[in-house]
Amino acid sequence: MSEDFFAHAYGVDQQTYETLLREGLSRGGDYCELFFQQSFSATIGLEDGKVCSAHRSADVGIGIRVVAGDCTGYAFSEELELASMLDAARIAAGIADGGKTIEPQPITHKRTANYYPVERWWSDVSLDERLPLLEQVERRAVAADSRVLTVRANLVDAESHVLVVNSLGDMRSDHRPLTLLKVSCVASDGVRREENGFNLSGRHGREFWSEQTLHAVADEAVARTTLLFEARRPEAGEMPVVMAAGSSGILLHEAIGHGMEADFNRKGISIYADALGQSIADRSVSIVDDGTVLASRGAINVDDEGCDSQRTVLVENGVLRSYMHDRISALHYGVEPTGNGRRQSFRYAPLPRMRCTYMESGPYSPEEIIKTIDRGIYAQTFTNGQVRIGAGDFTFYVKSGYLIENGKLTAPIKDVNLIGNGPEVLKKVVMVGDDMKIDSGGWTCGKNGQSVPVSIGMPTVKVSAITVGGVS
Amino acid sequence: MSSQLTPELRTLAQRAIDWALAAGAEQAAVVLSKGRYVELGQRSGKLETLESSTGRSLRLAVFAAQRYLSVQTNILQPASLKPFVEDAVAAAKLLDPDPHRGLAEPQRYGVADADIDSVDPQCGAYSIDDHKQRLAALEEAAASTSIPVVSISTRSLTNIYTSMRLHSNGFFGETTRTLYEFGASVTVRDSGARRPDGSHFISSRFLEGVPSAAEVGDLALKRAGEQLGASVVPSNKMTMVVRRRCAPHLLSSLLEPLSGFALQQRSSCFEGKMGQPIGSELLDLVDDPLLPRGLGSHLYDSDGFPAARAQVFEQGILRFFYIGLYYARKLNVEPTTSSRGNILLTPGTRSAGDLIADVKDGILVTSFLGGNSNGATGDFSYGIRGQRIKNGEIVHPVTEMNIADNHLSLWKRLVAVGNDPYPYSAWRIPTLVFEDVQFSGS
Repeated sequence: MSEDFFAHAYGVDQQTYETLLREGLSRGGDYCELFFQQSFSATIGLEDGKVCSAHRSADVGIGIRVVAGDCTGYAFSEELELASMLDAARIAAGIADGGKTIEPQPITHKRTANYYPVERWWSDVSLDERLPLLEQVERRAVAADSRVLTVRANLVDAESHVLVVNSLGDMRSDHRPLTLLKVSCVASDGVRREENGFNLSGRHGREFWSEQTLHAVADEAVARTTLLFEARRPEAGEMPVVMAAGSSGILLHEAIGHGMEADFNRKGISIYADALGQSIADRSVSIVDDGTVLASRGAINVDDEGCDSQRTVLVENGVLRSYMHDRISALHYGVEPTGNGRRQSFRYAPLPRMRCTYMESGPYSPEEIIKTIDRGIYAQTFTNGQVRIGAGDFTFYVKSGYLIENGKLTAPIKDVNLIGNGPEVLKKVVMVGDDMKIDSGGWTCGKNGQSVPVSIGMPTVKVSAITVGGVS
Repeated sequence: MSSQLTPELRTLAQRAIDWALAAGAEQAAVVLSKGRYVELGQRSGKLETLESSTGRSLRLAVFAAQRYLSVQTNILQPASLKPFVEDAVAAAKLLDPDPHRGLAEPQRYGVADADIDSVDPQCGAYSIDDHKQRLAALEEAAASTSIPVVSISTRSLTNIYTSMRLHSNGFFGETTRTLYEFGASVTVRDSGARRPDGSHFISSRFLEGVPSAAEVGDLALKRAGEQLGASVVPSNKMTMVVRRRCAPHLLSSLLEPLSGFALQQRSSCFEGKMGQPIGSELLDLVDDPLLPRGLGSHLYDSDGFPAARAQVFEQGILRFFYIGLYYARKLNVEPTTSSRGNILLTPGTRSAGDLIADVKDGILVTSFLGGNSNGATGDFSYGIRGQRIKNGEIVHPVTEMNIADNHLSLWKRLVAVGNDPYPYSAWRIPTLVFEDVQFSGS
């Protein structure tokens, strides 16, 4: 258990927590929180047929946050010795300006649910057991297609112990695994050269990487690369787009997800700031942010403010129901926190962040949806996206897909950026498929300089018009 | 004198190397860094965030029996660090051998004999009250009575950071840098629910010479205000004027495939193109790591080679690849460097305003949004927002549009560059004008 972990490893105890919380509240703050974290990660890399690079990291520290109203004082210490931690508490306390002093509540540890059952933690897996995993991937990818010139593969695993103790008396702990396999290929057909890849990730232990899974990753990386030889860039302009099930959830993440993070709304700088309770999409559209999707990258047992993870309905039958809250925004709106308070590490204060964001299934089969389009594109794989929270403009980059001509998928397409406006595009979601799929890619979300692992999901969806950054 | 490293930390760097060698590594390299930052944020006249901390990090590369492994940690107590280093050496020996790994020959090592003037001695004395005054001045300047402002957020940061590099076969280098960053983000109310934002932030090694908080705040307000009433225009090929602040977005994807990694992995669209024309004569680009006070300045690179100026494109001709020691050995070529410095595009003689006045039908791109590029083919596609130009006049803002092009052809259509390289960045790029760029819109 992580609460015992820090006691055993660093000798911190009830007395330490109370002393630090008192110091944090000494200048009149309303709330003080201690976030202990120790993380280990390891990466091994295969290049030119050899597993010949490896990287390991070990990181420990405490982040101390003091909240006064909606203002935040924050400091971290990389040494878990009392004097150093007290210095951090004093700096964080500086956000408050005299006045009342609140006594921290007696601390009780509360257990959490477990959304990432692990059989073998990565800390129990030796390096020489990891190497053959990449060798298998490489052998499979090279054998799959003679056009493959180079294969690179990285296996990343990480393990983090987290302990949150706050002045409300909550004490919560978590032990988080994460693994990612990323395979990139360069291939040549004699005339052209293309590069692409595939990655798979989740909160899994060693047991996840079976031969079958490794082969599936290698096959998909090669298929996605060689498909590009036949692909061309579509024409520029506005056209109907079918978003394939799975990683098309990037559209939700950008078009509505960030705009629903409550800090932006509390400050009035999100395009959704006045939209709570309003109809923003067709009745067939329901959107959820869920921290409980088993072993997904975005799963958390408890958030980084010590709140339970949960399934939060953002849009229900087209009506905007809830923002994603941290403690500060929940207090501002007079609601319970939704378990979305997350941070990259102890070096950062938590913010409202997404977990696993997806659209629920609707009534149509994918074939029925594609059949309705005379000329458009089918967007299938994606690399990245971005949004302007206030204006609502968002983009996502389509690495590959297909043209839709006369109701059928025809020529492959590649390398095209799509741009739209969040609320407008949501209104243009005119058909929702019955095939919702959570994507298991290694998605990472960036906000205010902090990265956190997330998941996305989507059924096949028709957007009646969106601007495609094609060529003439 | 302003180094953040204590004698104990310096000793620790040497000890980490000694532990690695004692555990069986033939070579080791350590990078030890320590930095302290103070950051304050203000919104609606009230201090919103106050953060300050000191962070440390030790990175160690070990080379044992032609094998390579690196570690990074902030756990610097010798009792913990020693076994961590010993485990790293033991683990390295399990990897596949790689004859290309290893430190450079000592005769290649060096620290450039230049003064990059990277430390403002006043930085440590910049107080919380100084930050607060700057925030107040930024907010005051960004406020407006004529534009419907929803929110003004301001931020001010100082950072002092020291990094030292030590190699077991003789390299030693140490650099301290100071940094000031400040600026404002302004969100304004547009029609419907739209709340476009604009921002302006300054980064500088020295406080001396930076624009006043009033200037910066005022420009942030202008950047937000110019977005009001933006619309999408029909898809067309037009002249593209790129505002100097957002030009690095284009340049960085041009430079990416110039790396030794991309060349060796056969994923560079520039393979075999050394000495060939890639752009018009106006693509005249220098990487200068020795620029005094430059944000990208450094005296030595990650292999321990002395930093030096490089002509990357000379009047459109490709002259340079970024090849560090490892990929140079794999490619069997002489290394250059894998570390980028300050990127300088030779400025022209005319102002941005004059260049815009020459454009009959075009778009001034004021920022890029998302998008990506394919380094193997040179294809790229980015979202943009900006200002429509007709007959030399800016007529209205545009948004929600894309461009798509290819680096192997775009730069040949670079027809003008401004006289206004942006000074508060490692990318000193002036306004750029390209012809016949495909914009997609309605």
